[in-house]
Amino acid sequence: MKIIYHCFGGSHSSVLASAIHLGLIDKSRLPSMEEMMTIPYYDKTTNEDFGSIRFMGIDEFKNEVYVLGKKSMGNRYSNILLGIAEILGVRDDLISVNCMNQVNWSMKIGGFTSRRMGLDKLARPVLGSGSRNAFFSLVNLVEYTRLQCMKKVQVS
Amino acid sequence: MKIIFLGTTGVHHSLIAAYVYLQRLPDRDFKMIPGFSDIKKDDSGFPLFIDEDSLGNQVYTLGAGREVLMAQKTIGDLVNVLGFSNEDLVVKPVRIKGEQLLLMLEKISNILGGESISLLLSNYIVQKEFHRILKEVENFRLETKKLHLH
Repeated sequence: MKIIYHCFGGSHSSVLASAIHLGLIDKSRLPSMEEMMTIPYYDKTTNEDFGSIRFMGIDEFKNEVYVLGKKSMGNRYSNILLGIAEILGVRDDLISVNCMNQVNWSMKIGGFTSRRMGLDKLARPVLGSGSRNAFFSLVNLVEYTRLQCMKKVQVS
Repeated sequence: MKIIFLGTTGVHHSLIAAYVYLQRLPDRDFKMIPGFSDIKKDDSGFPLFIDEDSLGNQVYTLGAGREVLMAQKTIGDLVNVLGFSNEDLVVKPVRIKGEQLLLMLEKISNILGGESISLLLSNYIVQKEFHRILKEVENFRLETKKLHLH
């Protein structure tokens, strides 16, 4: 199965969620900014990356995990992804996870300042604090996604 | 093969492009075309099936909102991620002047109503840009011919 976590820039919440999913980061405690910076793509994307589906890794159940930045396209983008999978006849092979509901203002301001304005040194403390505040919400989202995955596998 | 005509909406210029491609455009009065400016159909974001062409390819339209080229890139990546290729699914973006206005009209009539005004304005915009749609479809035909030849 393929799991795509998506958010505005594909740089923070979706990357953090995919790292939690893949066990790249300990989900039982809040991570430090240094730990988050070691995650591939975390606060490292450019404008060219919008719309690109980037591979993050394979989980213990052989599910492939990806991230995507979809700007302010909301849930419509999930429907586009699932619609394409449906017409290709593989609707059940795809889970699309919108991470935007877990994004707080600190992440939005920090993400914008870092990625859009290029002021990453200034932005990272704000971004780090926002990411830490959103961390356990993202853990819940990932747990829910993993349950969805298991259900789909059991059904098929 | 699946063919998707991608626009800001799936029920205006992309729909006309699909009908031109299928050579089933009955009239230059697009208001009469089934599904034209039908915002409810376009609301979900799922591809809309139009018909099959003479080769048995399934033709769809899709509304991607403001980010048509970004959606094209994502769909291309998704097709590969799902284990398919551009021989299984081809995306043709249809770009016209006023495409953002069509999207705005759709959003306004979704919130405030006024679907008949939206239909008239949409018809006017698409008619004015019809030559561009014809050119886009012609280019697409040439591209797909080349694809089949190789």
